[in-house]
Amino acid sequence: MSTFSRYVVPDLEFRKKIVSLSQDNINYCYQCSNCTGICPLNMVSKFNPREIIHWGQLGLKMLPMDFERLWSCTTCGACEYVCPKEVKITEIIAANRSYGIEAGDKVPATYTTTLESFYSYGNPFGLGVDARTDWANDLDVPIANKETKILYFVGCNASYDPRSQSIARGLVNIFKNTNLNYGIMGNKEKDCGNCIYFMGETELSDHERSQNESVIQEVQPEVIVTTSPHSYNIFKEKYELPKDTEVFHYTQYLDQLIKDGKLEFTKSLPDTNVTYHDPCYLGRHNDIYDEPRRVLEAIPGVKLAEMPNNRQLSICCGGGGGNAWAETEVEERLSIPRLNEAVDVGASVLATACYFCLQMFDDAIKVKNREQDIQAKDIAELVAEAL
Amino acid sequence: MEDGRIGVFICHCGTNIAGKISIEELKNFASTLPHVVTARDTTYTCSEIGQSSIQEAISELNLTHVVVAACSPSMHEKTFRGTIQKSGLNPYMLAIANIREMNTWVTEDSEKSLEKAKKLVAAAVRRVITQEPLEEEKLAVTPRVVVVGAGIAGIEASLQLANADKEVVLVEREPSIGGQMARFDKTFPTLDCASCILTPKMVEVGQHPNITLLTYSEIEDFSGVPGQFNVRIRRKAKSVNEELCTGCGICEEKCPIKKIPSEFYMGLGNRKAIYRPFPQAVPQYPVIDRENCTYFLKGKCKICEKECPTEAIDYEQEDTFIDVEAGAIILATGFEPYDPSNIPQYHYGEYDNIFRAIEVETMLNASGPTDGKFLLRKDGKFTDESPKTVGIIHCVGSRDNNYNSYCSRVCCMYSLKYAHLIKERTDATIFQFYIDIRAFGKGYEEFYDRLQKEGVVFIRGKPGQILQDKDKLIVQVEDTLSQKALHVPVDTVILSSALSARSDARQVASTFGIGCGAEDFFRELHPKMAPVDTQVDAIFLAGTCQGPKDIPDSVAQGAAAAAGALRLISRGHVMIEPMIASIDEDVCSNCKMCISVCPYDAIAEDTEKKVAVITASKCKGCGLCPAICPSSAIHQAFYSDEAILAEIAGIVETAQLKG
Repeated sequence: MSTFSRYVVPDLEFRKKIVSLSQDNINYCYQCSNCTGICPLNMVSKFNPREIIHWGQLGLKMLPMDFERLWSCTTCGACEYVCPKEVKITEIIAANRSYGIEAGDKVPATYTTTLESFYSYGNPFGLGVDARTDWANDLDVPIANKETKILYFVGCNASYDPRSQSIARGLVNIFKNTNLNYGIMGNKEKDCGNCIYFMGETELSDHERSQNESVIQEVQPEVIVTTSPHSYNIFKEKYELPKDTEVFHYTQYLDQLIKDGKLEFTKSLPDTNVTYHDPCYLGRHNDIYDEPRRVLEAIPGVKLAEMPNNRQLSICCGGGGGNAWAETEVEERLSIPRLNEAVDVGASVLATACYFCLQMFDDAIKVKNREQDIQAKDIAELVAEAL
Repeated sequence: MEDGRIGVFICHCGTNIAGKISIEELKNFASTLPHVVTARDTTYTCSEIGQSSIQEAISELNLTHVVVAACSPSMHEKTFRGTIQKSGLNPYMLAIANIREMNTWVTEDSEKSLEKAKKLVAAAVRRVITQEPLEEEKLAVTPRVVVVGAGIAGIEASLQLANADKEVVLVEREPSIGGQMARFDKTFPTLDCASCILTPKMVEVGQHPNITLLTYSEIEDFSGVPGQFNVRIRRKAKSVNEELCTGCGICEEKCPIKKIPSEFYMGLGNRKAIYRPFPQAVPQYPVIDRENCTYFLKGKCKICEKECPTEAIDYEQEDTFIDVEAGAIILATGFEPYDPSNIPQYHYGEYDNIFRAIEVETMLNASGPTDGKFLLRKDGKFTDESPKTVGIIHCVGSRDNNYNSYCSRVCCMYSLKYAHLIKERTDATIFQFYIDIRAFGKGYEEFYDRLQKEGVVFIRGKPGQILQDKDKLIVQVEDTLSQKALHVPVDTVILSSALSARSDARQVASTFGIGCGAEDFFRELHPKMAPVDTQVDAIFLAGTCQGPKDIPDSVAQGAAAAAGALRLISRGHVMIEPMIASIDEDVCSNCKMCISVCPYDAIAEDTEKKVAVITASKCKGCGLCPAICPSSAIHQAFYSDEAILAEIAGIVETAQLKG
């Protein structure tokens, strides 16, 4: 023990644990702070990934206040994109959250409620398992079986959230329109596990994943198409899939359909000024930038304008890493500076390809009374409108 | 079976080998092998004691062959060949069993390691008995050196050689010598005027009787063997007859094509279609850039021809080729300034007032596009306004796995140099955004100290991005020392960008048969003990083509490379290893397959005898031709089929013993 009570003794056990939870990522950092320099949260509040990494390197545990702040990270990956040492900073965030949950630190209430819903119902809303396919009741959507070639993974929000359900409905219409052999997992679909993973509940994430994996093993689809970039991400990163099964985000799949001449538009959306917001888990996390833009540009009448911060520099909507369910103070919401950027380039539609982004921008438009100027829409909705 | 008396010598290599395996057991095993008369061990076989124990055994026991079980043959094969040669054996009666790099260093389990050592020793014993005495060939060295690249490293190497009365051919791609240093105004840490220390050397090169200077020229082809290289050089048509040209500059003055972005000034300034890259160019003769010359594009103009007082303009000139024989080559091809336009968060090439380092050098240069003034741009054009605040971002494209993972070594110091020069010329406030200040050279820490005292602001953190707000640039960064997220408004940002390998470095390396490292810089033979040698004897490296370095190091390497070349030329000959291929004329069916695979152009058809013939001096013993020959007519000395099969047999037999 140190003689002086004001000196802090590095906790080497903690260090060991956090290094291992972060899969050694903490060790690669040389503290340049490129991460904190680009972190968008500093536009609206305060977040310092460099410091979090350094505390781990030194074996310093977080103070309760810092642990609470840790939850504001949206895992948008801007830090990882610039990191000169290829540190997976979002893994370090997840590791710190995991450690805190296990150590019994105080997790902010909204995240606890969400995690409990995931635990009991396999979705973040606390809604019944049987209600998962209610959105499809009037659509005659097939449940996947061994004959199914395309497995459409709907995801929690598109299943339960009334606003996001229209993305799923739009995609199903597109699938029908192009006579695809597709099916959904029905009530057997569980949460994909991506948000749960980055919220630090890795075991629960693994549990949800393995349930989905066993359905997929039964179906043996040629292709999996996901609504959400978050699902796409964890399918690519963590899922054990049949050897020949390919995973696409729906924007990639639509892009291919358009290229192959299988998707034809019959209507125009005249003089629609659209700007496209790159969802973090599609863009930075998975390098998918061109396909969504090509799909938008293929829609008759759509005029695409870029916001100054586009592609790799896209500003997060604020909904990732569990924050779609958090109660963030209005002035601390990233969706608002992003919305302003969209309005500034003269867009009447802020298009995106992720239901969290859609939700965050809908809220931002309401809070800022911008309904007259701009609407938030998903690409799938726009495509379905023009069919 | 062959006759022979083999001695096996097992090296402990301190604990490198003996710490892993039982030397005693290996020794006992070795002494059971056929023809082995003695098996002994020493702590360090390469030491004098170790070597003399081999020599004693040879004379005591009349040994005819020697196996040394120790480190890699690339370390000490030469040493031990010398050892046995002194005892009267042919040096090629030696085989090395590499039980260190290939075994004890990489095998964790000591039992398995011992088994592997036994196999390697058995293989060497079985192979050595098949080896035949070979004689090295003496090859005269052509007393001439070709130096490729005339930056400061190439210039230094050329002058060292020329002043030792050796003949040098100096080849430079650009119209003038001088390299990157010619762009600089001042050099750190002494703030010497760069051209004041460089131009005297350039002039000396241009006038030196021992130096043939070929500018606007490139290596077209390269062949031959160390000591006797053949270099074919393409002299690009300059469209100016240098014998008549006086370098008066009238043609350049009168040329009506004015707006060609100057390569020398990184496109910040313009040049004419007939031009010298900069006023102190050596040679002083201009060249015509045919891609932009009105006469070459449209067949009209000829103003330069009309104006030239000495009739030196020659539109008909063509590229010519010169074949040069050289005993040694020095590569000093330099670096390429890194282009940071692929780093989106820094918006280089997008915002007006973001400059990269090499552009700042040309701007500060007194004869540069802004006459040495540091000016701001608006809509892509220079204004006459100077910045009041400047941000300098370190490590752009360096120490960054997304771009170049290495440290470029000079950026910290040139960033401090810019701070001093800009402050001196504009009185601006300068912010240095750094990760670590690396002030490792002589006088560098003192320079850092000086700049701190001059009031430069140091912010420790790598900026996340640069934002634009009207006429200001905002540098967004965490100062990690105060742990504050900062927005620092500045008028201009300098990106201290990396030194990269030349984009054609791999191609050049393959022309000369040398290697490149992961980052495309040329690979030296040994990073510490042979820093200017390459894997090809008689080819040396100097300057930044080998890796980022500053001027003092480039000059030192230039001199070191010159010393290497001088060593060969002064001795007058090289010894050629005799491990080459030969063709049995009686068996050869003249199918020519060997000719098609030979990478060294060493095999040709004897049209009279209708057989393939190998030129011994060109053959490198790579082994391709004996492997492909369908008639087994090609024999490779030292690596005969018999020797290779014997090695395999040694391994297999030992495995079966265990088995």
